Amino acid sequence: MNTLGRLSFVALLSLASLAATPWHAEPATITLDPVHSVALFRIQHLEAGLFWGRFNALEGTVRWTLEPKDAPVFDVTAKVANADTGSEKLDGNLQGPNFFNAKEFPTITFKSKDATFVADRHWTVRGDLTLHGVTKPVEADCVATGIGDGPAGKKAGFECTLTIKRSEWGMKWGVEKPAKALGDEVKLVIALEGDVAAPKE
Amino acid sequence: MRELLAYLASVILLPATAAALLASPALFGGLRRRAAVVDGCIAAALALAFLIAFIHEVEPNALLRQLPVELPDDDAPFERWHRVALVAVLVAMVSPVLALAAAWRPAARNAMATWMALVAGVLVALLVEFPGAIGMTRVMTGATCAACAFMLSRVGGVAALCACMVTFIGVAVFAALNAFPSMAAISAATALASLVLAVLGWMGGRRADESRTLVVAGATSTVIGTLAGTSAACVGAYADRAPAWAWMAIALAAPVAALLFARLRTVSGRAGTT
Repeated sequence: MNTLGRLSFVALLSLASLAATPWHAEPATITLDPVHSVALFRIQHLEAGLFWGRFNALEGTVRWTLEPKDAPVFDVTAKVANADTGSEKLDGNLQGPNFFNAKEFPTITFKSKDATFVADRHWTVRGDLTLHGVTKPVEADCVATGIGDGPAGKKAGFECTLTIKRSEWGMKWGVEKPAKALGDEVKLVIALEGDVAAPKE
Repeated sequence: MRELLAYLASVILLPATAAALLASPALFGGLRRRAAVVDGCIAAALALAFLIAFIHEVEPNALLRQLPVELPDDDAPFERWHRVALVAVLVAMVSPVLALAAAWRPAARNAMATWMALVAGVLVALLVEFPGAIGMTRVMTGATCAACAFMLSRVGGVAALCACMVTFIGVAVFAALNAFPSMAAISAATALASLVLAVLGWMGGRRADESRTLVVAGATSTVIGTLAGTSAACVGAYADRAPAWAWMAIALAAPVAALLFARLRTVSGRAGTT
């Protein structure tokens, strides 16, 4: 085989191997670590201070290729019983029928559907938020905060921010009756960390 | 503070005012001689006060969501505790029929009132289910409603309305202590309505030509018993820190006390005449 023939053969082989490789890597499943996954909420109280609370021990998964341009897919669940305001009395109030009504609607879920690339590891993620038994579409600003090495393997972190009006999910107490007791807008900051499992072959 | 006072005034005073306006024609004047009218008007007035307080506190759609109707632009969820409003609507609608039935045969009024209490209790047990309720809970809810209605039918008069007021004050406090402000407000409104009706009933009986005992058998006792029992059970379903029997005690304490007091008065009255 002459030189031209050898070069053509190598080029053909390279093209073939390139065609066999997937354009995007398979997404890995990141199982959320409940200890390091929380959702913070902020609401105005009596038109005065901005009050923060949190939902501890988030559960769920994120599917992500670990590539900076590929958007993650979130499936996250918070248990209303894990609400933590620093006050046991207030935690109990939040479980009651005038707020989250935990006995009928024990969980809050977010499942993403699609996303728009903003910058490397930064997306606008759209999905469904189910809260108080009502499911509505929302848009969250999400960033991948990092990929690190844990004792059991790789770990990945994310942070998503969004603002909702709780009255749209049927949680109206304090918005108008009694008036101005609690704000309607709620800011949510969802901080996630999970263990990266290798994608299936 | 101003908003809070305005809220309390609207959710508590407005229903009591509406109840007073509805019942007043039957408590003063010639209509007071007609037992069916008095009984029916007081019963309907109490149910109306409860309903107005609920609608003001929640929203009208919360009631409509429980009916098989399509509501445009409404995606809020059905919540089981809203069932108390449907109960109030049903008892308000049937109260005229109950009043007429009780007055139809005055000699059998007590027996009619007993049957009404039993039927109300069975219907509540079948149709009302709060979160976490098992079969026995629903049976106890129905039994509490029936017992409350039965005892109040034997008390009669202004005393039954006073017992109603005390019961709903108890439910309001129970609700407030267990992070259920809406039910606290609704119960407070019903308690105030009961007080207003009791005062009007007493005032109407003080007039020389209207000195006639207020008849609250049949319709009124059934309405009070049903609303008190379901309201207390509703709060009890969410009161995780309270003993399981607390809501029953709150619903029954005042009717039991009123019945005992009425019996003691009867016995001492007979002893005095002998």
